Amino acid sequence: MSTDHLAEYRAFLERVLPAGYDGSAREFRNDEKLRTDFQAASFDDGWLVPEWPRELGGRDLELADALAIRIEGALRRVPRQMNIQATGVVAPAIRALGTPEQKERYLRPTLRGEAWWALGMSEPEAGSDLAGLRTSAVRRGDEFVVNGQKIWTTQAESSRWCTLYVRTDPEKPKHRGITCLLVDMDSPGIDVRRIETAGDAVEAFCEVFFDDVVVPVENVLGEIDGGWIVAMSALEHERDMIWINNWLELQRALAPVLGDDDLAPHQLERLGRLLGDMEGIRLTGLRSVANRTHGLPDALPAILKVFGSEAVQRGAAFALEVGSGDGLARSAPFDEVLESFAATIYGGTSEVQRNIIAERVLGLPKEG
Amino acid sequence: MPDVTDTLVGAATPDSPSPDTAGDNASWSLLVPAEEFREFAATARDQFASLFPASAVRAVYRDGPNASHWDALVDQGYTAIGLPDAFGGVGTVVDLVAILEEAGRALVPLPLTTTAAAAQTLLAAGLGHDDLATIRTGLASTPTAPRTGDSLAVFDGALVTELVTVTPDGGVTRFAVAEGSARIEDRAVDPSRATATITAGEHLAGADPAPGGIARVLAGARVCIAADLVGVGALSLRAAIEHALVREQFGRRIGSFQAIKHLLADTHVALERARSLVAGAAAAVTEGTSNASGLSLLAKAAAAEAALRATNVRTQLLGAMGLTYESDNHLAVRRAQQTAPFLGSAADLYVLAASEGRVS
Repeated sequence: MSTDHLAEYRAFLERVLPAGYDGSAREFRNDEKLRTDFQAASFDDGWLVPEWPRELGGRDLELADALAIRIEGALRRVPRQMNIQATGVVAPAIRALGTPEQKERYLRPTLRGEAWWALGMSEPEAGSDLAGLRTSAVRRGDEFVVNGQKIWTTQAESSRWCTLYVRTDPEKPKHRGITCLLVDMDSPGIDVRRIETAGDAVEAFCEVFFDDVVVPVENVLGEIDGGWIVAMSALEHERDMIWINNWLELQRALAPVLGDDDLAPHQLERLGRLLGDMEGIRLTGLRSVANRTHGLPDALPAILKVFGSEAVQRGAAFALEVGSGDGLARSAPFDEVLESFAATIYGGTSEVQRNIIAERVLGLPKEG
Repeated sequence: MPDVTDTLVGAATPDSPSPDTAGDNASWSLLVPAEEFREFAATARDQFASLFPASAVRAVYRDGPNASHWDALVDQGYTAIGLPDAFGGVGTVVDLVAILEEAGRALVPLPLTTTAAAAQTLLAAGLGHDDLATIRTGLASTPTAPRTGDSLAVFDGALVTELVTVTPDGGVTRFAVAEGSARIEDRAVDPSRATATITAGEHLAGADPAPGGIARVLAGARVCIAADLVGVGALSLRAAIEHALVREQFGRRIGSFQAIKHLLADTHVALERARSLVAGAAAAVTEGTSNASGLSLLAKAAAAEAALRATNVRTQLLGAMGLTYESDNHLAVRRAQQTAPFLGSAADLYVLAASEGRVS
């Protein structure tokens, strides 16, 4: 059965990808039309979320089979989605916690890549401490009125929608008074300002200001004051995609080095260690899936973020070093280094991840 | 190099369709032991803990090696796991590593892991025999094939009665140990896994160098040693955590300090990285896939690193107490330090894995 799915998916790729497609080539990586069209075609054929039920655009695949499809896509370096958080974070949250009307309205355009989403989480005073957010939403009849500021909001300038985390009850303990609103970014009172990044390789991000922005109450995702649960569940859905991508990025970084015949012994040792990271990420990801498939407790997702993101950084740094053997740094591997910096920051910094591992997996006490 | 396209999932290519769903899922299941072996491993943990408490390891330190519990290990079936049916075996190498991790965790002072490593080497060379599950056997890598009468320094060799040697080209020889020849050579590092000087006795069997060379022949053995090291690391991390949960300084439990948490979290990540590589290598050895030798190099390297890191971190957290004879800490430190370099240090094996990756 698995093989049939895989063969069918391969045939699909053969049909929709252009002749001579090479996902690592710059012209394909930056081809926005190809990326947009590929996502829509993937959704229309049920390959975008193959583990989802058919009525929502999936194929009802088992977790293992769906993962095999994702890995196949990653190995083939299929065109990257233009607005990855829409399918990775927002759509699963709407599916899990949305009202029937919300699902009807948002899921299809979101998965097809027509409705882009920004994640309105970080604020100037609330980064790792998401629960410290201050952007407020005050109830006025059937509406909320939002005031405040978000920052580091990826793709806010080009997104039509935003999952905006706001404080709806300042009296409750800080995790409990947060609500997630589905906000139309075209609403009056929203001002988006692009932040110039340290290089093109860093994904564009923005500041977003909210000045008396009106949001209908029906746009609450989940429960009012239940936003923390939405945030936690939203981030959980991405877990398998993150390690697959980390594994693949490391593979991509090491590919040119593996062809280099002039490595010094100390470089061979580091290369071997990075191969251990690469295979370690893949096998840890698969073990995690195997645990879930067997109904066993699975604490591995807690380590995959820090392990994968830091390994990608080591790989990028190593590729730049080897590629600069003549004393001259090159732009392509430098871009990879620059890009890799983000991975240990977004979605929970490495430091926060270590605290989570220590407290939730190893059972160590909270600080203080 | 480990063939990264040969993933355990979806390993089937269009030209080699797997017969059915189970064909693909078999690989999946291999990353965790079969249900009955998960239960068996839990039993093993209890049994090893009761047969070999720290006092039993200390008794070996004091009185020298003692084979009296070997028959119990054989009777319970521990030595048959991962051997083929034809030789009275049961389960796979995946199941075997689950048991050897428990042996590592208990610091079992008998050549259980070593015998399993030797047996896997014989099997890889096509030299399986009917007594694989009963005879305590040592494993040595030698520059050239030894002859009867040669003297060899053998890892964990104090109690072995047979010996398997491997040459760099992958040739394998099986010897009896000459009567009364096993003699402790060096018990300064880990007296419960001492190096012994052994005289090769009767030549029992031999296999010519095989394709894939020594890395292929030793793949199963490296996985066994790696699993043992993961167990030693797991024991040490657990003990370090327990200490951090009770020891108070500056009015708080030291486990609440972020510096300590991050040290322990990093150790946990290193151990899980090693455990994943061991599981993947064990699955590859079981299925005979082409990435078995590459993965076994990485697994052994990662396990050696993780065990050394875990024992170092525990020692650091214990403070001066960790450097006393009274603390059990040094038992694990000695076990890790004795075992980590066997069949190649982490650095050696990373270099080998990288070199293999460049030629394939």
